[in-house]
Amino acid sequence: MTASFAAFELFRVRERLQRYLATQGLEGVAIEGLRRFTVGFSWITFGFTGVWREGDALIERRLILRIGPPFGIFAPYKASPEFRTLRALAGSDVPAPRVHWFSDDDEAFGAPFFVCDFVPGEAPIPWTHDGGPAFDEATRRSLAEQFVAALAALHRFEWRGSDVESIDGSTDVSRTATEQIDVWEANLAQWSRAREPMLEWAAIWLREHAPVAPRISVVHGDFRIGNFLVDAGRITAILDWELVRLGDPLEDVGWICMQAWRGRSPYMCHLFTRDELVERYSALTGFAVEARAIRYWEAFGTYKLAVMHYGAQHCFETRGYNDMRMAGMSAQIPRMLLQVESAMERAS
Amino acid sequence: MNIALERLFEGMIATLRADVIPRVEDPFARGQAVGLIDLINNIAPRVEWARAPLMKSVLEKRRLLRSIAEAVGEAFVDEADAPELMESKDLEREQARLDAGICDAMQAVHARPAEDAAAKKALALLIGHARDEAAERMKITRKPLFAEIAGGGKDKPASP
Repeated sequence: MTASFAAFELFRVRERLQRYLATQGLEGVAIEGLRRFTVGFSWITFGFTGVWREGDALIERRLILRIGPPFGIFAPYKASPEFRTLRALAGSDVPAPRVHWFSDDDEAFGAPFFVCDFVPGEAPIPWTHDGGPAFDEATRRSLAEQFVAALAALHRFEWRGSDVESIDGSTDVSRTATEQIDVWEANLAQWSRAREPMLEWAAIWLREHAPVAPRISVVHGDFRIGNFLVDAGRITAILDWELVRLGDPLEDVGWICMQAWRGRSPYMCHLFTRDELVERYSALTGFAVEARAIRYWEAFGTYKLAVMHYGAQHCFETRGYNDMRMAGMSAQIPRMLLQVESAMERAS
Repeated sequence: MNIALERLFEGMIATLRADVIPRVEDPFARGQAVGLIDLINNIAPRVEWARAPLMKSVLEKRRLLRSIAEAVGEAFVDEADAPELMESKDLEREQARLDAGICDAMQAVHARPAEDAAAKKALALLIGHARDEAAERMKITRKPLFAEIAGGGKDKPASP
């Protein structure tokens, strides 16, 4: 085990967590049932029950600790954008966990982290070999409606005047697309030793066709199947906010439409047809949605996902992260390059 | 697959040693996992990435860049810089050098006026090459097992 990975072994995490929570004024705090979850490609997620005293009362709360490891795909991480966004969204119609503590520095755990409530549910990751249905019809319709309602609530959220105003992103409607291309092009240059002609061409094409955003919203950045929890048929939380920023809301809609999240299924994210998605999104937000803009953001999203595969390759090859999924993503780069090309073709 | 083989083997062995073997309770299965390490240790010094597809790719890129130079009257790599192609590692380096030339050519011909027919044709050739190469590499790329991995190996699909 590499030294950096060993820092996140359970006994060390328990010790540090207890020490940290004690500094937050939790009297006699104890950590019970600490365990690591296997899901997630980026942040390391632990679940535990915190037990402490508040006056005469004994408090027991199920909590989640997420740590952004120094060797992860998007390292170096910051916890503050996700924490601030989730705190601002508390009480909104976006199902999201309640957040408690965070830090962007390394002092407590050797990496940025935040602590939030445990939310019950499972993240559906449907995998059908023939493109057949991943859910029965009633479940599909119900989840689709909740999923798009959560997205609409996020995009309608009034971020001006809230803490979210301080997170990254562009508030210039004419620059939000090109600034995102700059960001991911810079990531690619950092993560890949060689230049990749298909992605270089994609960046040229994306710049040339960059749309003007109809408005600026909070953009989740990874809003898709696999990134929400379902409990007894209800979506209980939208997860994985690490790419959150301000930008064109249609970026999230295009991301949902990507082939990577549906394989051969005719349903975007295995939930709805493209027309159903656009119709419900427009009705719930009141925003006019141009099909061409969604196709553009789908192409951009495919480019972004391809660049992420280089990030995975880089953190395995250069940063010493021995997670086999990272090497596995590297092997899938040709598939991503072909998907980038097809997505550009469809958007042309 | 662009990761150096040495690093892949090192990562596989580290994963088996640190994350797999200590958690395998059955002694026979644990022994088999150690056997994998033994095999990888012995395979590692004997293999390199397949040379034939690398050579094919390098020759195609050279041919493409020569035809682009003829069509638009501008060279994007220096032929004199072409190294002697002996081992896979040399071929990988040359592939990267030629890809940089292809990227420069894309930028340059795209920047030419829209009515420049030679530039337009050259751009189509460059994009076509990028697509053909990805398609060629896809022929040896197997479907990912990410869903099975995420399920902790429990949700084994009907076929590999």
